[in-house]
Amino acid sequence: MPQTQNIIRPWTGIREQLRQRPRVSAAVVLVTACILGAGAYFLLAPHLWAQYHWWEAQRFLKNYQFPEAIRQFQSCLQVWPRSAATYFQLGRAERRQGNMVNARQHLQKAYGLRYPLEDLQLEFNLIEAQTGDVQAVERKLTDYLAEGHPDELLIYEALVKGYWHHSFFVEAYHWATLWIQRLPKDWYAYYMRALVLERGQNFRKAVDDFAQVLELKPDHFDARLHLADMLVHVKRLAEALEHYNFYLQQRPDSPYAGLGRGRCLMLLGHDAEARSVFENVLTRPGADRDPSLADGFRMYGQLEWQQDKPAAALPLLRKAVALDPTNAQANRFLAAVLRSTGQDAEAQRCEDKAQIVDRTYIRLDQIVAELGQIGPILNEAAKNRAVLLRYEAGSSLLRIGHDEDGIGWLISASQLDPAHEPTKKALKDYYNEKGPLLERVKPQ
Amino acid sequence: MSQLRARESRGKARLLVAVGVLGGAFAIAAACWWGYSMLAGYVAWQQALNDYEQDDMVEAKRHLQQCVASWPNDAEARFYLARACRRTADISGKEHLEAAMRLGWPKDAINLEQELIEAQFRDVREVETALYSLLQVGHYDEINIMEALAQGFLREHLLTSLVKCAGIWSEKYPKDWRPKYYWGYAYEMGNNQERAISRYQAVLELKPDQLETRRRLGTLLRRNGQPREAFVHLQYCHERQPNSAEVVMELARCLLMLARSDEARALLAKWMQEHGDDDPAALETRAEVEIEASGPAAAIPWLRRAEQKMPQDHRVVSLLARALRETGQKEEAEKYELRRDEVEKLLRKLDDIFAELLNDPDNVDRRFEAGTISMRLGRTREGVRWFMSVLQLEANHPATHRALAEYYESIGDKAKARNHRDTAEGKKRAFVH
Repeated sequence: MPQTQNIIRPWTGIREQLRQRPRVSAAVVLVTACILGAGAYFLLAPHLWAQYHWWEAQRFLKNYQFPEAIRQFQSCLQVWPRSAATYFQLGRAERRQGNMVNARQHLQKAYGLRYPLEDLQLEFNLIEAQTGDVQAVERKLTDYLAEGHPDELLIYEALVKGYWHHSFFVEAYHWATLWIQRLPKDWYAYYMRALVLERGQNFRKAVDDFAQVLELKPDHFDARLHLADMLVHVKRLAEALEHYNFYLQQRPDSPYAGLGRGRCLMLLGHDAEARSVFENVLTRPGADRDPSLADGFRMYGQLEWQQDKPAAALPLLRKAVALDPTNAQANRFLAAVLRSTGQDAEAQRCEDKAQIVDRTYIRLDQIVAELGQIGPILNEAAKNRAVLLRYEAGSSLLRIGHDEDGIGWLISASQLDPAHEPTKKALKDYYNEKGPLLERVKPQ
Repeated sequence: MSQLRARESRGKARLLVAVGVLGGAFAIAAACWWGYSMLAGYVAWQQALNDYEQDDMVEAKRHLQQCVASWPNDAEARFYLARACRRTADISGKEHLEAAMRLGWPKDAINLEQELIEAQFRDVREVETALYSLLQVGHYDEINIMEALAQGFLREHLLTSLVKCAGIWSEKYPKDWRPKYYWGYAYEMGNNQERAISRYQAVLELKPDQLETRRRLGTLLRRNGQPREAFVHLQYCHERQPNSAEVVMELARCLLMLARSDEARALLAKWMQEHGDDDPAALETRAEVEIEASGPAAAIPWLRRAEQKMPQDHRVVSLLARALRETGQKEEAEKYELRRDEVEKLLRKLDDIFAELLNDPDNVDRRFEAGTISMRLGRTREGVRWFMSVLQLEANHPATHRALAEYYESIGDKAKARNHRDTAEGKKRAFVH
């Protein structure tokens, strides 16, 4: 080739030379590929990996799988430690999972990294809706809905959770129904409404909604367990047993499902099978220290007592009462066994305790029913009555040692009427005695 | 002729070229200057954002001032500078807030910041309801709101409100050390030592290098009769703040309680050598050390010097009475014992007032009495604060204005003295500064 052309197009010469030297060209190609590969690995791959986790998180959020979504967002933060959007989404997922402390931390981080204020403001409103004074926030959230806010489903969800958390069952049901009307195929809306109905002791409707959840999402284990429990309440024992059996096929180690099955078998008169279930569940390591298994020990003890074996029944019933001193049935059966062995004084104490608890829960049922009849608070008289009922529920539960539920009812009373003196006093006395915080007393 | 024209045109061309070059150079210089100021502003802004994240408001303010110098018309920078000024108790932030408003920063944010200024520096009760309403429905700025409320409650000695605010803040943000600090402070002011100690310990679990908390905890532990535990905290503070008078005095007292009087004396002597031997607290502490180490006679000269600075200080008067009694100067000892008893009576009265105010914080008479007693005890700063808190509740309280007029007259501030005198006599409307 003439030299002038070489000067003008030197790369042609190089290409020609490479073609004539295949090994050199292969080496050049290999080295270039290695450099590019290393560059891609160190520079691009982490971001692609983080993006994958971001997409996975969005997928989990769509399916309402908040713990999994949280893990995915945390993976994103390893690569994007200053991503305001990731902190915001993580905060939102924590809020929906119910971890308000974590939610606030992450949202403040997003604020510090200058995430848009409107979205942040909505999130803080939703936090207060879920755990704070839901009625105060409802007005603001209703305004958002009226404007057609793009996050309206999150608003419905937060309102339902907030009202449910504070035992405002009528309001929670109302918002859950609006949510379902908006998205009739959303299983989570049915699930939330079913939980509200369950807590509001409307078991028949709760059965329908849990069944609907399983219709839309057959692999929802929690819904199946709840449905089974509700079916026991409405005495559809055979159906309940089917659901417990199905659940145990998938999760054989679940003590709660095991006890549910045992309860069904006992109520159906299959005592031997029931006994075998109780033996299996209640002899596992740690079972004798688990308060949630108290009723299991009670049922097992009851079976033994009904088989005329007081010596076997007594330790089981004592265990039940030790794990849950306010279990009325356990106290009643223990009293019966104690009387049969001549321990009348202790028996009387157990009976008295059982009576107090029974009266409390009977009255609580009446309160819930009356609150349901009052419905949404439309006038001062209704409000005053609702406050009194909620105060009564809260103070009764505190008297029998059900502190968390009791405080929840008292807080709901103070939300309706922050100036209600007996409620204020009850809350103040509780926190002065049990803890240093005036944390849940609303500022006046 | 043509040559002349050619020369003329060459001349014009050269002139044009020169102008063009100069203009170009000027444009380049202007562009470079603009670019530099943009870059400097950007760098300062990024540093300020980092400081905000670390909650280092002093540095944030410094960087924001640099930023605003380069970007004088940036509304956001002005707003954040105003906020940093508020959080560092710098009242010049007001002008930056006004500038941010003029430059179009959102009105909601400006209004909130103004309310926080009102809460923190003027009358917290005026804005308490509005701010709590924001907290009730949730607000992204809730930490700033709670902090401003806490500082306002502390300033106006509204201890019950402070405990409530700190409780709410701590529940929402359990990993934030600040509410626990305010909580502890409230308990300390309310003479609840045990709870104050427990809160301060909780602060240090979250932030071990919080020196102010460590110093307070060390002081409380020493007063509670736990000098060994107190020493650990005070020594930690002293290593990091060797020039802090409060730390040195407390550490010396702690060493005294641990029967290490020589070390206490050496510590005080060194401090007095470096900072002058005129400090009243140092004189009093030195006297305490001398009483234990060398006996009452050695302490008397120090006590007399301290008495000149703090004639109504309980500790000084008590020690002087004791030293005089022990050195056989009975007559003079009796005079000081009477004075000591008077001071103790006033201190007990002050404790009773604090206890009353916990349940009745709006009691103007008690607040005025607390101010009067504080002034009589020589605690002028505290006294003025009490008087100002009276005026928050009742702007025209004549007795308070008279007391303040007297005080300002005594320190030579004639303008303020006249204002308060005129207000007391009804010649003008009340103002609160």
